[in-house]
Amino acid sequence: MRMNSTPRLDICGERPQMPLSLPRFHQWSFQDGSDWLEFYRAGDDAFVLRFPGLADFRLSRGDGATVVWSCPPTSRATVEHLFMHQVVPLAQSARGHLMLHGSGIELAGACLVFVGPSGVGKSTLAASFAANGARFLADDGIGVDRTEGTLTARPSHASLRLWQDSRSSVVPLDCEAAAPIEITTKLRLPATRSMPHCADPKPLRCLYLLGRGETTGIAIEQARASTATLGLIQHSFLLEIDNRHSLAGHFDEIARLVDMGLVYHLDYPRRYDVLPAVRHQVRLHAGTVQS
Amino acid sequence: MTLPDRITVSPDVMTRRVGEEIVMLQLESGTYFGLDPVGSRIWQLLAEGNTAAQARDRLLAEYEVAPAQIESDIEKLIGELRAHGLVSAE
Repeated sequence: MRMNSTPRLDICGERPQMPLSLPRFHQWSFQDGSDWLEFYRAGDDAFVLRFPGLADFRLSRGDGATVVWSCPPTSRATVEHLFMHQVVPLAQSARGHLMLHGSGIELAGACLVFVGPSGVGKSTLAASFAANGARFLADDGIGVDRTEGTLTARPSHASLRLWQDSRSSVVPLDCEAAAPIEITTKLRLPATRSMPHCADPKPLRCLYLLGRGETTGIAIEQARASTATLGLIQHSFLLEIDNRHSLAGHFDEIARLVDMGLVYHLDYPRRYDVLPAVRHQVRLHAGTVQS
Repeated sequence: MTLPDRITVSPDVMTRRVGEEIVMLQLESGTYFGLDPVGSRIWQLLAEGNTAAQARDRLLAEYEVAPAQIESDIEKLIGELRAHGLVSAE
């Protein structure tokens, strides 16, 4: 049985990053080719995730414990940010959970998930719903569990990350941004009464793969099965990318999810004045979907 | 145009049918592939052990399409599958 607890974080202290003698099996890179995140194995059931110049996280698959050494002058807020947004989804994937790169909102007691790459508008759309009567479950990492044919979306941390223009256009005035951190200029906005968070798992109604906004109207259509599968794989977290068993399980889980017919394409012009109509169309569409 | 006699699916390939389509994972390279409904039907026939020519004949019976078009589609698909290590062909 898979455990569903959020990994614990134990901040050990500060130390400079020295070269690691562990086998490195993967990395995420910036567009300029430099590494954003390096993946190392530390035995059969443990891993080190190194954010160069920022912090090293050592996580265990078994008990969910994560210890971190930050690299001076990385702030505690940055460490916690990396943990919540990057390490936790990867750690959950190593424990067999499907973790999608998406935001989620609650509508009529069920969850709608918006999936896509960074910058495509997931957080802005979730914030727009949350500021207009629908609580948000997640900002950019959301878990989906399948039990006997039933899909459940699991919430994550109670904050949204938005660029300043989205904040000005979408977010209620009473939402104060948290203190900035050194690795991003996005604003971190904790949930408030006027932009509320839903901390409870909700039945998953449907998933929307967000298009790039290269359209003149609002379009919602069923995603082709293969396109949906490849899209969800592309926009999901998977720690053990070199492990055949892990790859196979992840692939199988996503194929089963897609086979339930709940994945759609959603695209719309990226203009703030269109968001009310987008919310309306999504509400109408979701109301027609039987989960 | 010459279709290969025997197609062998790599043991490193994992396939799943989702709706009317086939998606595949090449476990060795960690790469993924999706086939449209026609490609999925070709794959299904090949994976069942049919030769490419047998697959062509079955498809000609199922679709109203010219033999040359079907052969071209099969040859193109087999070429792509071979290039990605999903099948071997003799």
